[in-house]
Amino acid sequence: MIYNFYLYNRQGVCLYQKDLKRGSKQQRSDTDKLLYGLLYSLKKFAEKISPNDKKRFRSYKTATYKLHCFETPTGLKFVMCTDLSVGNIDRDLEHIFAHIYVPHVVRNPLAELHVPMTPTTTMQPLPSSSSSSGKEEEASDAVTATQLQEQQVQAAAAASGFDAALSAFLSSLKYY
Amino acid sequence: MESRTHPLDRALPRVPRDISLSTYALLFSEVVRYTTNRVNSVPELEQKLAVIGRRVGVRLVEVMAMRDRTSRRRIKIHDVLAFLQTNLWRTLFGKPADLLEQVTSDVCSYMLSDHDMLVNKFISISKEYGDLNCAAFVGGIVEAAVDGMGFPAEVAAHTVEGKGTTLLIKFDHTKIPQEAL
Amino acid sequence: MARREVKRVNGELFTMTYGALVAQLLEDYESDDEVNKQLDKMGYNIGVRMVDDFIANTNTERCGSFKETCTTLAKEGFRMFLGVTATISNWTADDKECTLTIDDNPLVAFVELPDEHRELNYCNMYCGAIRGALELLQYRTRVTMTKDVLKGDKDTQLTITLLEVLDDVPPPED
Repeated sequence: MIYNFYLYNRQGVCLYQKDLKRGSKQQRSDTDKLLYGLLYSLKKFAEKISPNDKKRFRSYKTATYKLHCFETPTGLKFVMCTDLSVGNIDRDLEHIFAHIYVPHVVRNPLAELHVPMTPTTTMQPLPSSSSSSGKEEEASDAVTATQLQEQQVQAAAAASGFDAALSAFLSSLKYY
Repeated sequence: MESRTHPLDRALPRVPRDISLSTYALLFSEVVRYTTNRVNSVPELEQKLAVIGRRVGVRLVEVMAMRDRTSRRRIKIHDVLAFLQTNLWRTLFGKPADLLEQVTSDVCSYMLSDHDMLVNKFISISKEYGDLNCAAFVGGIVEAAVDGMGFPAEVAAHTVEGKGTTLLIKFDHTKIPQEAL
Repeated sequence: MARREVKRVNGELFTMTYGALVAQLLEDYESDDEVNKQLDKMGYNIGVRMVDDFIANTNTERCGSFKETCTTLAKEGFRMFLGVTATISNWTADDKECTLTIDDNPLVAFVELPDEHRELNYCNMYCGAIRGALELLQYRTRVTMTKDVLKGDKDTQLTITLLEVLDDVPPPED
């Protein structure tokens, strides 16, 4: 059974999330931020204690769920929470990256890469330009309020294509 | 610099090898994005894309004419249309256009359709952009092509639900002699 | 991931579309320098997307070093997207700078640089694209054109300089 799906970029922006828990208790509204914090810490920790070169953090298990994480070399993190019976699903997360994210978002010129794809009522701030010297969003000049709105409209359009394809894929999985 | 051969003396470069679809799609999407930031309306965007398309069309048709030594100058409108549907489409997209038909009421208007327009392959238009069709760029190529053959026309790109893109080609009947129709 | 079948597009259409874009930029901007900047910016936008596309289509793991990354980018990346191979050479002693040479540059077919645009770096989009791709792979770089066939050189060359290795952005403090 799949509980949630999250997608983060390297700056920690939650680009997409999907809650499939069907009738469970309400989650905190900032779960996505907390989750990113956890993943960041786990990744750093795993790198530090790794006995060899293979340092990638893949999953963790608790008494009630298992969290799986697939990270691309570009820092995109595809995260899925499932029940405990599910094994290694790296291949499925890779599939979501290569066959759903890339065609619907990367290849779509009207889709912005660093804006959350799920339309939300609270406007999500774009990564600020002063946060790190490795700023990716040089592409847009100073972001005005109208530009932000426009980007979110475009993001919503891209979201529907990505959303539909993702839903179809998830429901085709054995452990859905 | 004097030792450089003059470009007109050089042989035409051999046909550049094919490029991956991803690369072209990414380049084209930047063209669209750049143009979008400089206009204020959808018709203006389509117009500017057509201008860029015309630049491509003018040059492409010359190169095609130079390479195709067998055919003669086309003086009938049907030959021009056949050229668009087969030769031009094959050069641009590797296959002929899907459908060519005359608009019933008008002997100077034709519709050229492609069910899977290459330039639109990865573009999904949101509601904000209304009936934008980025194939206005291809419309520009076609405009330049027919103009170069002596048959000036206006070309507009329309999206047809479930059937891809149709280019509406309206020839300027004042500039076409009766015997060419 | 298996290598997928990559669909192809006529090379002339590509070259001419790029040319038409540069011509449009020359009309829209006053100076060659402005156009160079625009080409770099647009290249950057393309580069950040290209790298994900590349990773999705090939079975590439994270490259261990800047040197390895540049070599893969030149050999595999250029081959996949442009059908040409670029070569990397002239590494500095600290492995932070190198030269990338493109032998058979597809962008410059049919192109001649007129006298009034001597400062135009026609292929500047390559610089932006490489910079964008490397940045997503956590390397902040400066990429500049150093040799240009349109200016009389034998081939196209760029210099890639590593400025900083970037790390994941930590989550904001609560």
